[in-house]
Amino acid sequence: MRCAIIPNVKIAIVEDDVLVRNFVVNTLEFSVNREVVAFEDGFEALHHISSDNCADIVIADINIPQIDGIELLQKIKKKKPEIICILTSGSSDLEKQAGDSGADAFLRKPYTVNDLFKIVQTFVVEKNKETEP
Amino acid sequence: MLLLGADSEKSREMDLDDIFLSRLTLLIVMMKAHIEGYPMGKVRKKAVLENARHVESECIDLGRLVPGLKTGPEKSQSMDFDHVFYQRVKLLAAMSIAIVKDEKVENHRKKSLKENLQIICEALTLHGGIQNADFLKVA
Repeated sequence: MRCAIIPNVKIAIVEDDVLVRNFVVNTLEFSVNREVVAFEDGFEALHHISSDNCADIVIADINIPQIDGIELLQKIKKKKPEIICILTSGSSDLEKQAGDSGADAFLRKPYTVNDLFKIVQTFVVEKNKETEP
Repeated sequence: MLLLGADSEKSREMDLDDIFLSRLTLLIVMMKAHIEGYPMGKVRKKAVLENARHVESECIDLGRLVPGLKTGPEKSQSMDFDHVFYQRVKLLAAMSIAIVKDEKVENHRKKSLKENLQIICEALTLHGGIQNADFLKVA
């Protein structure tokens, strides 16, 4: 059986809850064996992501300070539509808005290790298979 | 748009218990991956260390946290099952930290690690399990 290949993926997390943020960072770093950058507000995240080649995947909570997750996604997609944007929230009411804004995935809290693994499988491993020669 | 996470009607902010249980699950996955011989690079080691330290420091009063935790025959002995389970989780965290620090993990310690994992998993009765995680086999 052919094993999955992990490309040199760059992931950014935007979450103001430090416990959730650190848990997601540890899970994703363990999954892809690459450093994951993390921010606690949308403005800081946007500044970083706007730089060249700084993120392939962004996982942002909707309820974050400065610029909320939805606005952050819209700004990212306008400038760099190729970046995978995943929104998270403790409120499922925001799901439709996330979809209308162009989110690639919506992660309802509370989420689990399995959900984060699914994100890696879908947007890192499977996506890499699509682009393989 | 891919939808993941809790069911719509159960959606809420994550609390300390959610974080702890998720981190314990992650630690179990981390150690099972190690037993299977999956590669553990520098970044993975850092993740294991941070996760194990969190589990070790937050591991208290698990009895109320894990629904259906068995309080079977051991309750008649001097230490009840909750306490033993608590110690086992602490032990798992300590074993994980030792592995990351490259301390020698000989066969008998590996056997202990496997047994400890098995007992913890049985107690937690993880439903659903961890699905496709082939990416752990590569670095």
